[in-house]
Amino acid sequence: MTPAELKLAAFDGEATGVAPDPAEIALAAEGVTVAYGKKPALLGAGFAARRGRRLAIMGPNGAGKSTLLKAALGLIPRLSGETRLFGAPVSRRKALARAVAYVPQRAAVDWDFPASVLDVALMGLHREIGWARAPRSRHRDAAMGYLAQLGMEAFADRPIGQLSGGQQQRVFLARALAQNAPIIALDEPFAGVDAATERRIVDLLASLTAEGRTIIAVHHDLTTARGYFDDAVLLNCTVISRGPIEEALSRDALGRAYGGRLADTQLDAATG
Amino acid sequence: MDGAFWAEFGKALLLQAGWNAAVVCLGAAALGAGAGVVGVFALLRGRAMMSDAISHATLPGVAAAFLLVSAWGGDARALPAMLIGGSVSAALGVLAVQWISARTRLGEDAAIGTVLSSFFAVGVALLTVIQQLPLAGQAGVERLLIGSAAGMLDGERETIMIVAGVLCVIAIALTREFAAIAFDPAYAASLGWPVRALDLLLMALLLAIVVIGLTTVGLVLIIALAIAPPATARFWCDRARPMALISGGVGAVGCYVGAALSASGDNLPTGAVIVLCLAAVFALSLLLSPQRGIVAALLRRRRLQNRVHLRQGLLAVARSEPIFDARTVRILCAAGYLRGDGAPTEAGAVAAKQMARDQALWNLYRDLHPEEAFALADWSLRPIDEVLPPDLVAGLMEQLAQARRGGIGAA
Amino acid sequence: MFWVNDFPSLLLGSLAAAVCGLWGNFLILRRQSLLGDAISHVVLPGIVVGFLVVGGAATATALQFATLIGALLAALAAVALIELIRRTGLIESGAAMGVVFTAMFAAGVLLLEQTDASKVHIDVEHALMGGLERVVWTAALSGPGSLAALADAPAEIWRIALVYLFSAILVVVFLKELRMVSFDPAFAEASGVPARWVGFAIAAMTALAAVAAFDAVGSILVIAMFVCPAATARVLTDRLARQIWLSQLVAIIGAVGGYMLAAFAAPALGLERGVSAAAMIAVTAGLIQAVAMIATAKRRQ
Repeated sequence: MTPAELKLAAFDGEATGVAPDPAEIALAAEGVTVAYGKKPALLGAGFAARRGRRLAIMGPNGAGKSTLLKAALGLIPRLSGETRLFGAPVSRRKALARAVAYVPQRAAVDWDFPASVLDVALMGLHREIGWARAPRSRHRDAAMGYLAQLGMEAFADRPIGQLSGGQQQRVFLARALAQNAPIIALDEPFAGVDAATERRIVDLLASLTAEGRTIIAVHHDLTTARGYFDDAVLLNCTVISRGPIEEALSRDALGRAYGGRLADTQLDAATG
Repeated sequence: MDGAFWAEFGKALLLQAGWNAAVVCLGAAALGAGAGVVGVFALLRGRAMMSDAISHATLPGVAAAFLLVSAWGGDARALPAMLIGGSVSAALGVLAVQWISARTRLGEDAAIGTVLSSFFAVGVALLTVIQQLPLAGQAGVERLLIGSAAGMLDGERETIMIVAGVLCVIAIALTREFAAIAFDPAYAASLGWPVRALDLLLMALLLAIVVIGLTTVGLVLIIALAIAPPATARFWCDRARPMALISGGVGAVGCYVGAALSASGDNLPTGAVIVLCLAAVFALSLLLSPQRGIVAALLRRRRLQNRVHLRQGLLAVARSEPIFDARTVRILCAAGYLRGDGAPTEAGAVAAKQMARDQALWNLYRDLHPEEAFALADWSLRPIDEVLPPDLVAGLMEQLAQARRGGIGAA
Repeated sequence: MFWVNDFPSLLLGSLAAAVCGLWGNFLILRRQSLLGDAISHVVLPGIVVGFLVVGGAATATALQFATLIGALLAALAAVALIELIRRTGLIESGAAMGVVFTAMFAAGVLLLEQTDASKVHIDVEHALMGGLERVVWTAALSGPGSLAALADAPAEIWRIALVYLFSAILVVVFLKELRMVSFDPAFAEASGVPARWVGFAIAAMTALAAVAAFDAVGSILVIAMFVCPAATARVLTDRLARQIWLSQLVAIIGAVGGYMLAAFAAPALGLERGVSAAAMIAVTAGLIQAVAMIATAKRRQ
């Protein structure tokens, strides 16, 4: 071992990218490790979502994207890791619940459940309505308003089992809007939705960030990432790269994350 | 449980405690093996509770057969008639469960619950009718439900052993097919295998074992024979064939020992003692199985957690970052790497540098060989020179040095 | 005579059916329909242990109390064990239930045999044939025949009525929380509604309802009523509130109809004692469900 090797000036080999200014961070998770069996699903992973911007969590299948989001929000147990909300470490679940509106994967729910579209939208108003109280007419009106933002007000009394995939996603989003939270965390919001719904969701996310809210989304489609998001974190069990989307999804980073599994054509499409 | 009891038990284990006891032990072992093997595939298919539906659904058929045979003036104690009746109604029950699952929005749990309760209620209603009619042999019906060791005698044990043996052979012969429909039905269908037919065959095997087990252990407890040994085997392996063999073995041994215990003392009902033996084996496996048991999993988790916190902590020290996590601080202090005020010790600084270097090597390895890196369970969890061969490590060190000389961050 | 013999039985049967049908709604939505079945089997060891703890010389009320507490504790222990096994991630909930309830049931049977069965007044045969089934219309109805003397109504009716009232209040007051947690537990947890605890509460109330009902009408009816009314309602409607109302209706119709059937079947078949009312109630509920399922069945896919 040469002396040159022993001298460590800075710690390199870390994820590439510029570390953001702490004051700008709405929600951050660092050093998150999650293991179910022997092999960890996530190892020292994390992300930092900047205020008023859209962050994509990306990576190949099984990279732990959903796991990272759920672990950051305290929904699954983790071996290590810390979540910070607006710079302060999160000590109680309540703080996170108030600040983050979580939209789970559509497929995680049995849509044959006996509930109407309005029932689901009203779930987002639970904190306002309060435990053990019935929703008043002002809550119903508010919920209808949120449904209208997603174009679903005509379906208010429809049982959710009769909805298409795109309509279901829109109901989920209306519920999230109803929570009136500064941060919205979505798990695969564009999975299995029609083009019109996708357009609508993209516009909605853009308008939300325009009014200062923060968006974090697990996203699977490399070709659309650049258009839909501002920042990204690229994962494959650990963080490969992070930062503004152009840098985080560079050709080099994608190659490392996808391990040569991407064809050149796909890389071209992904990096524009 | 005095000395005499254990002496008897020893003799029973060695089949020295009399003809009856020996017969019961061997018959029970055969039953346990058959139920264990067939039960594995039902468990893998997610249909463990079907045995519950099947066993409860035998009652109306048994009662109806009893009434019919009596009406025709036959000897209603004849076991074959009642078993056939039970099989028919249980088969109807299985078909009803399939129908409900396929044609209504109800899930399989609701389908099983419906069939279980309705069929059983019909059976009980018929039973209360039987109890009031001046018929002979009523005790035979109830014996079918309670089960008794006496069910092993009078030539029935041969039937039981033969049937159980045949079922074992069929199930093991079809291991590949049953495993395929359990783990990946779409793939099996694409291979041209008749998935529905195989499903029904599996249910038929389960039905057969439940029906013949009724006479020995009774209606409620036969369920245990079909579920507990497979569940036990689950804690020892996850491939179908070894699971089936382990489950069959556990079933056979558990039933054998249970029958021997029951024969050794008074007031020890056979079915209950057998089930408790199987439950004990299950509990021990659940807790103590070296790979998948609870204790092993907790220890593994704790070790992994400590390792992760140590690494993350040292990396934070190397980057001169503050450490917030209390557990990390605790672990670092305990290792002598951190002082009370949060500043690193001499040893801590050295360890941090080594850790940073180790992490850089691991990251380099990942960048150069992504597939291998992600396949490695220990990637970035243990020092690289403990995991990879020395020449590979040396090569990485050389490359890292070159990269550093070339400029920071160029990897 | 109706008021002395039949009305209390009808009331008891209806209340027992209704309270089980009520919680059955949430079991079926959470795919836990077999929990009622499992709990009905584990009350046996609970009752035996309760009896043993109190001793054979205790008063009748102390005995009742002890056996009820024992049954409830056994049910809660079973729920906890099932959850523990499920958490290993290796055994699905059906199999976990199967192992736990058969093991506990076997323990009950063994205990019964070891500790002189006659003292406990529980016939092993009856215990194995579906639990402590006491035919509803022969339950000791000691109160006077007048409705005004409610205070003298049999204790079983009071118990089940109280449990039903408690259950109904909980469901009405917390309907939207129950709905949220059953539909999307991850969202509930993330928005501050503790889905795990609500789930435990549902299981605990299931246990309470099962024990209160079981004491009165036996396990066959309990198992059937946790499944059939809710399943019937589930296939008939897409709205939760409507489903709950329908399940109560089906439970009561089943109870009344089944009781009547049992009463009339006796002379029709020339029997003295008659067909088990509890069994007929369960059969009736099953029939109602069958009709509803066939009427709403999907085409073959």
